[in-house]
Formats: sequence, C-alpha cells, structure tokens
Amino acid sequence: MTDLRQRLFAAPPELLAELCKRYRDEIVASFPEWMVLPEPLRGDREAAERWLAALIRIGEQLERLGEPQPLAWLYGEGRDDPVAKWTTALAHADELLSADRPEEAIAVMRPVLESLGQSSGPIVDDLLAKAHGKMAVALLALGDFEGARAFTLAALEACISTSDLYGIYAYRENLDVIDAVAGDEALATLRAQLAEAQDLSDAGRLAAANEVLGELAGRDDVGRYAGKFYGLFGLNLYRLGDFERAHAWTKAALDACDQSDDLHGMIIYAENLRRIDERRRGRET
Amino acid sequence: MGGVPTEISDIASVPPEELMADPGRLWAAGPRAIAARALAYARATGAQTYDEIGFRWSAALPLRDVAPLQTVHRTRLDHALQLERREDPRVERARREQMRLRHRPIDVPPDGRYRYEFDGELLHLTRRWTDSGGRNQEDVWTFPVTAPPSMLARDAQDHDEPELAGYRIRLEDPAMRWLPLRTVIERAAFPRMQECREALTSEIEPGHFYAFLSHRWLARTEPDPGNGQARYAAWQLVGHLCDALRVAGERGLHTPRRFNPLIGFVIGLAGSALAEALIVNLVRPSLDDATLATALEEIAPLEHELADRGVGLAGDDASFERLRGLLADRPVLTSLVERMHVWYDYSCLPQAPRDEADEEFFVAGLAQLVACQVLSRTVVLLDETEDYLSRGWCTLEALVADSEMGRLDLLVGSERSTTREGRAEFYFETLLADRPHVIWRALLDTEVLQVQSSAECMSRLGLALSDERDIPIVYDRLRTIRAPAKVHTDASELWTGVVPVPVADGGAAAVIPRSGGRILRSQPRAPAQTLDWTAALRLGAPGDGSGNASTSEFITLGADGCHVAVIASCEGEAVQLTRWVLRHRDELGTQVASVSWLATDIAPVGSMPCGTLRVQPVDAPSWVVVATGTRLEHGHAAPAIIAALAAAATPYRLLEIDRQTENLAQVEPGPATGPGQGDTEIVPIPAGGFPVHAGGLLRGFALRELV
Repeated sequence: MTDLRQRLFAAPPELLAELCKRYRDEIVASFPEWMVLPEPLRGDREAAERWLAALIRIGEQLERLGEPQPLAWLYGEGRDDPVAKWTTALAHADELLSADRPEEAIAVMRPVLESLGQSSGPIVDDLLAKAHGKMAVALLALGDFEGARAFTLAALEACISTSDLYGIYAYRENLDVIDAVAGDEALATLRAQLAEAQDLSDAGRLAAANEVLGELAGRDDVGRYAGKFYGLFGLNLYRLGDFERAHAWTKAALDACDQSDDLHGMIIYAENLRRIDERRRGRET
Repeated sequence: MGGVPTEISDIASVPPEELMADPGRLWAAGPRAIAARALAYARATGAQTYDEIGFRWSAALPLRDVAPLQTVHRTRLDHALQLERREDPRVERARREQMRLRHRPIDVPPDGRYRYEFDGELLHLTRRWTDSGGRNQEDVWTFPVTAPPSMLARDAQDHDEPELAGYRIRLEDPAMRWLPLRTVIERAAFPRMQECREALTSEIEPGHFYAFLSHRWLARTEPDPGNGQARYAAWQLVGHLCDALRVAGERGLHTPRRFNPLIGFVIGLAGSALAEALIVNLVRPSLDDATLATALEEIAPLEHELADRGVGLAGDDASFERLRGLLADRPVLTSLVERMHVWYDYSCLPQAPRDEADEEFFVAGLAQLVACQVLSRTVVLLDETEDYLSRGWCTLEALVADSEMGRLDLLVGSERSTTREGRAEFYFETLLADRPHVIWRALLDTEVLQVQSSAECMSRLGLALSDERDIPIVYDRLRTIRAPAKVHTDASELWTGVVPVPVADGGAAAVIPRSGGRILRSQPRAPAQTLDWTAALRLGAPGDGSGNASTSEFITLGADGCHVAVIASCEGEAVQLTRWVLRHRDELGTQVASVSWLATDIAPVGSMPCGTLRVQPVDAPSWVVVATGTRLEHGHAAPAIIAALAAAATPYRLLEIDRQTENLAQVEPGPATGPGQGDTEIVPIPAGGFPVHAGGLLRGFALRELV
C-alpha cells in the first residue's frame, strides 16, 4: 500500500485520475492511515505541507469520482480531528476578539492551549504560537500587561524555534506595543519622536525628519530602537543624495539589528545597504 | 432557488451577531453547502428589506476577505462596538505608533512574490520567498505612498482630478444658484434662501470652486438647527484648501498627481481627492509660484492644528470667530476662500412658505438637482451614515455622484469620537460604497425581473421621504442611473449561473479552470473595434421591454456560431445583459450559437431566478466574453474562463460593455498553453453532466469545488 501511496503522490493529473479510478476502494481504506504524518517528517514543516497537499489532490480526485469521504476527513468533517477542532476554536477566538469579547475568547482558548500542550508536530508548533499570540491579545485587551507579555514571549520563542520569520516579526512588534504601554515616560517620548520623524520623512520633509532624529542622537537610552533610529537617518540621507553618510548610518542600523537579533531589521537594512552601494558606485563611475 | 431545500436547522435560530462570532459552525456542512445555507439563513426569518437580507447573508459566511459586504445593520453593529470598545487608549496609541516604527526599506528585493495591502496611509508588501534552508518564509515591507517601491512607481501615470464640468458646459438656468462660502462663514450658518438671496450667484466661473453639499435634514423645518453642518463644512473646506496648498507647494504647482492603474491607487505625494480637485480647479488658475509661496507662509503656522483638516477646530468654534480670525490676516488664503461656493438646498432653493414666483423657482431648481451635481463636485456631509442612506433624496444624490460621475468626497458632518484624522470611519465609507450595489439589485428586481412594484422597491430599500409625493419622483430618477461603475470583489462573492468552458478530446472532456488570477494580456491582440453597448447598463433603455423575456442561464440559438459568455454583478443584471445580447447579437458581426451568463455577486440580496451554479461545456469555434472592463481584468471569473480558452487554443473576443469606443478586442490563440498546466485541467464530461451546485458557490472556493 505504501507503493500505491508513493505512486499517487508522484502522479501527474491524468495519471492520478486513472489511479484513483482503478484503486478507489483501496485508497479509501488506506486514507486514514496516510493522514497520520510519518514521524521523520514531523520536524520538517515543508515536507508536512507537501504531504498534506498531496492528500488533498487525491481527496479532490476521489470526490470527482463520487467518493467524498476522504476529502471530508481532511476537512475534519464527521471525524474526531484535533487539528480541525483547534483551527475552528482559534477562528472562533479571533471573531470574539474582534467583537471585543476577550473573556469569552480566553475561555475558548484555554482548552485549546491545554490540548496543544499535550501534542507535538509541526502543525502543533504553528498553532501553539498562534494560540499564545491570541491569548496575549485577549489579556492585553483586559489590561493584564504581564500576562500578555508572557504569552507574547512564548509565541515569539515558538516562532524562533521553527524559524518562522513572519511570526518573529509580528510577535516582536506586539512585544514592543506591550512594553510601550507598560513603559516609562522616557520610552514614550522616544517612540513619539521616532514616529514624528517617520511622519515627516513620509511627507517628503527629509531634512526636518533628520532634525528630529538629531535631537535623539544625544540620548544613551535609544536601546531597542537603535536599528530604527539609525536606519531612518540613513534612509533620509539616501533620499537627500548623501550616499556616503547614508551608508554609514545604515551599516550602524544593520549592526544594531544584528546585536538585538532583529532578523527583519537585518534583512531590510542589508537590502538598503545594497541599494545605497549601487548608487555610490554609480556616482563613482 | 433551484428548488432544493437547504438544511439550516442548526443555525436557523441563532442571531446573526452570534453567528458572526462563531464561524466554526458554518464550516460544519462543508464548503459546497456554505452559500446555499447562507442564502437560506438570509431569508429564514422572512426578512424583506434588502439590507437585512444582506446582513444575514454576510453573517452566515465563514469566509471573508478584507472587505465583505457592508450593510446598514452591520455598520450599526460595528459603530456600537467601536463606541463600547474597552481597549486602553494607551494600547491603541502604541499600536498606531508601531506602524511608524517599522523598519523602512528603500525598495523591495527583486526575488520573491509580493502581495500588497494599502491601509489608507501605508503600503504593505508581503514577500513570499524560500530561505536557504528551503523553508517558505514571509516578511513585510512597508512604504509610504510618497515613496513607493520602484516596481509600483514605474507604472504610474499622470492623473489629476478632473476640471469641473461647469467650466465647459454653460447652463443658463436661473434656478441654479450657488452660495459663497464666505457668506456661510460671515453668518456662522447656512442661511435660509430667502435671507441670502442677494448673495447667491448663478454663474459658474473658471477659477472658482463649486461644491454640491449633500446632507440630511436634522429637523423637519430646518436642516441644521445647531449650525453644526455649517461649521464642519466651512472648517473642512478651508482645511482641505490648506492641504491643497501644501501639496502644490511640495509637489510643484503644475506637477500632476501620479496614479498606478495596475494597482488602482494614487502614489507619490498627494492630498485628499477634494484637495486635489481644489488644486486643479482653484489653486492653479488663481496662483503663481510667488503667490503660492506667500500662501504657504500664511498656512505654515496652521500645519499642526489643521492636520485633521479642520475637524477638531470645527467642534469648538460655535460662533465661527476662530475661523474668521484665521482668515483675517491671511490675504491669499482669504482670496481663495472667496472663490469657493456651495450648493446647499436650504440656502439655494426658496423655502416654505413660498410665494408663487418662489414656488416656480423651487420646482425648477428641484428639476436641476442632477445638473447641479454634474456641473460641480459632490461633497457628502457624513454624520449618521445609516440615517443618511435611509433618506430618499440623500441616497439619490450619493448615487448620482458615485455612478454617474464616479467620485464623491466625504466630509465629517458632526462631532464623532471615532473619526480619525478628519476622516469618516472606514465602515461608513464601505457602506456608502456598497449601497449602490444593493439599490441596483432592487431596481433590477423591479424593472427586469418584475417581482415587485416601485413602491415595494422603495419600501424594501428602507428609503424614507418626508413628502410621500416624492416617492415616484425619486424612484424614477434612481432608475435612470446606470449600473454601479465600481466593482467590489471579495472571496465572499457568490457565483451562480453557468461557468462555460471549452471542450477537449473531441467533446468527451472539458477544460476546467482552476485559477482566477489576474490575466496579463500577453496573447496577440488585434486593435480593438468599437461596439457601444453601454445602454445595456441602464434600465429602461430603448427596446428594453420588448423581445425575449427569458431568464435562463444558458440559451441555445443554433448549431453553428460563436458562444457569448456574459459575466455580470448579479443575476438580475445577468438577465438584463443577456436579453440585450439576444436583441443586439447581429451587431457582433458573426452568428451566435449560444449565450450563457454567470453572476458574481457581492450582495446577493435580489431575486435569483437561477440560484445554482454549474459547468457547461461549450463546443464553439470562437467566443465573445462580455463584462465590464474591471470585471474582465480584475474579477476572478473572466480570467478563469479566459485561461480555459487560452489552454484550449480557442480564439475569443473581449467586449468591455461599459466603454463606448475601442472596446471589442480580438484575442487570437497563442501557442497552446495546454491544459493541465496548473491553471486549467482536462476533466472527462460525466454521462449526466457536471454537478449542479444548489445555492451556488462562494468565489473563495468556486474554482476548486466546481467539478
């Protein structure tokens, strides 16, 4: 039966249709077994996604032949499918959060977190990060900053462990928001000045933006916003045509992001540096 | 609706608000049943008004994109939620700040695939790419529209707001009068017409700006008892003028605004649409570089307090003293304000009690309302949108501006705690955008499908008129407006009718599209011909009531000839267009063998003579695909059908039905892309035909679930 599964997984559309027609009953009988991800693939998110996509193709083909059950199993219908239950519960929690009902969202998520905590695998890691993230949003809505911070950190760690760059980026932002709310006046002023400088830059008022940033240059508590501060200075200088100084400030931004493990910042400033250096070379030649 | 009873006992008694919060239970019956169940739920309580049907439909959908159908019911809910929201204001502020604290790129890397989202201020491009470990990754690249990435900037074109039509069209009508904005500011109110008659002007002069103010009456005998509308209108018109001056100063007085037609929005430095209209019609004709520089000096100290375009100051300036003071020592700004005029019914039409002459004036003026709008710029003073859109005259004015002129400016009409930066709330804007779609369906129900009288139509639309004698007048004017020009697409739109597909394998199989992605028209294309069928998008067009009265979604006319595939915004419109095709098919210059229609409906609130979806294989040597230009290019249905035609190497013509000229393009088959290449698939035709989906399918999975 493994042989049949391998042939189905590798088949182009026409052959897949033919195989499904010929081995319909065998496929339906083996389908529940194939839905259990083999152990060696559980740590590999890409491989797990490919596995699932192949099952969906087979399920759709069988449905065209009048056999809807395997596709229904995949969508979690008529079967005790934990993944479908978790996903449904998280979607429910999302809607409750949108409707400003955080207490109910928490009540929906608690059993999900418990259940996810007892499971493992790539889908579980992904869902666990999302569940932690949503829990943090709910707690933040209720004013529980400490709880929100703890759950955001848990979500961030889960994303770091699976190298999920988007998750890392999103939860770092959430962490910034929580810390800003719970932070002191100095942090609030720093953020407000950076935001003002960004607004001025967006409006094309680059020199004015750098004037605001210049006021920050004397501060020694720029800390976690150093990458942003240096990077925006560099971007404004680039747009003003000062490529040499733009290079220096952007390089400083890249280093600051490197030191604070800010992967997203590193990607952006590395790309900015590339653009700046292109223009520098263009000017030299 | 297909005659198939739909089982909804599990959700029938659940209120829409609860259903929206628990989408899980809506998936329970599987994706193919979602649309049928939502349609059944929408009408389960015997809901009669179009708005309630739309609200219930939308609540029963587990699948939503960024912008699902907005209804009055839903807007009320959203607004109430926003007012009750308990979120700590510090959290809200930190979130808004956070957007600005994102790392900002100079440009995007050349690798990866991008999707973009525009939040009204910033462009967010999400890149999908594969890292060195072979993992799929996503990251976000955020840009201001003033400095977009090069891939969006290079396709941009000059695109200023248009000149007012009133400069070109001279209409000698003594009943059309304009009130100088200066008078509103001086009198701190919109005066009654009989009290400001001497101030009114009747000429539309180039270099002056004219705004038709659409608003609701706040009391039966006077529209603006607290003068709030006057205050908000005056302050914001001045605020937008300052915005116009700032943009003209920074961009260059005669440098046009830039627009990227591929993504459909403005890029580069730009003001609000109203500010841009002021640049074109008032600032450029009135100022040169030197006087503009003086104006910029005058407004420089106001930059901070007018950042919300006057909304905040309007709330505190009951006597207008502050506004008058602001203008007092700013001669250039004042000279521009003196060239601004408004049409406000209470001030420009004689009010009761009227003498005989004024009664004549009033009747003549009422007849010129649409002309006033067409010659000027319609500006809606938006306070309670739900109420505004339940008024017959207001709705008519909004529709004339939106459908006939394609633009309408919104000003905040009263003090609201939930407005942001001088803009009406997002859901109010989307409600205003969706209302024309709902009204169009109601009119089609009445005029094309003939399921109700005009009075029932107005009642089901919930349109109120203080004078019942106005009901037939407003209805009659509504039915003369063309189909909504704007297309609202979303994963939650409903597909019903027929998806026509070319045959393969000598008729034993069909080429099934699996993707509705936007088509980049790379196939060889002959120069477009002209076939003006724009009248098909209006009700009551000549010959409308005659000929074929079929509502069938697939009509066979003969054995030989081309197939005409109509794609429309709803079933009523599909029937209207199909009847037009049947009456005018000779104008296509080729024999027509069959006609099909497919409705892709964002607001399935109207009558549905079909109510099912199926694939119909068509063996025809050539095709004509008929739809509006936007639907042909951006909707998912037309690109899907075109992909199937390309795969089958079938020649076809595209008819943009909303264009008058150069709108019929022949596309010859390129090198056969061949089915089974991802976008299409060859599927044997079952003996009994392909399945019929009762209730249709949602766009989000229509192509996946079709066969």
